[in-house]
Amino acid sequence: MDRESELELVAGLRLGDAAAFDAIYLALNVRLLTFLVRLSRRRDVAEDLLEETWLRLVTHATRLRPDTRLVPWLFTVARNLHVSYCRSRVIADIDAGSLIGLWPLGSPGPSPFEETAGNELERRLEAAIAALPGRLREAVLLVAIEGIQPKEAAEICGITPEAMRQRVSRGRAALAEALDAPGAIKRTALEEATS
Amino acid sequence: MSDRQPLAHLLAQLNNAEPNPQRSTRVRNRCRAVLARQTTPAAQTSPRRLESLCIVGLCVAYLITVIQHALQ
Repeated sequence: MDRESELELVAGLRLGDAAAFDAIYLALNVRLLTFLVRLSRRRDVAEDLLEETWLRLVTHATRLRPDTRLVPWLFTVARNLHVSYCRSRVIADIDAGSLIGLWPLGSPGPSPFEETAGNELERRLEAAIAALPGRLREAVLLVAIEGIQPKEAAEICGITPEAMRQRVSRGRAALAEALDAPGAIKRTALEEATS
Repeated sequence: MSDRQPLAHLLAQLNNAEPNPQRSTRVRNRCRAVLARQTTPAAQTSPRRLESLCIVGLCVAYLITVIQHALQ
């Protein structure tokens, strides 16, 4: 989606044009879902957050600025909804813990992508992404996988571009280390797969 | 080739999630309905808005009357 067509779509959306909404939905729905599935590591949660993200867009449609950049706007909403979800889960887990004693905080499960990975290397990479700390994971997802510029990704996460670059760098290093760890596929296999 | 290039290549080639078609259709229809409500003129003069305006008007009239009585 180039900038000119993006501005046209925003103008259409501000006027309530359903066709403009459909075009935005078709262009970005899979990207948002993929981002949310990897971020939340749960398909059901990701679908709920995705629905809420789209509802936020149409609810704010008439108040969007004419120069709104849709990708950062939507990813910011999706990311903030995930943060809110995580906070509510922590509160729920603490409440449950107070009821039944030493209830452990929910540990993250495997990524849904691990089951559908095309090969062992992809499965290990998905597992490594799922195991990243949240801040590094969202940075890697936005910049390294979604291809969003570090400056825009920094705006999405509410941090400085330099901090975002550092997080991406640390995330990539952690992934490379995970793939090189004993028991993981060796770097030569990684290079063969991508050559 | 640097160490980072194969990893970047792999990350860029990871699978995308497949949306559930039925849910996608439902979400789209719901969003269209919300969008239509947001932008129809009726939304700007909804009964709730009219109700709020009436309440404000009555409050202002009441205040004016009270002030007039107090001044007399």
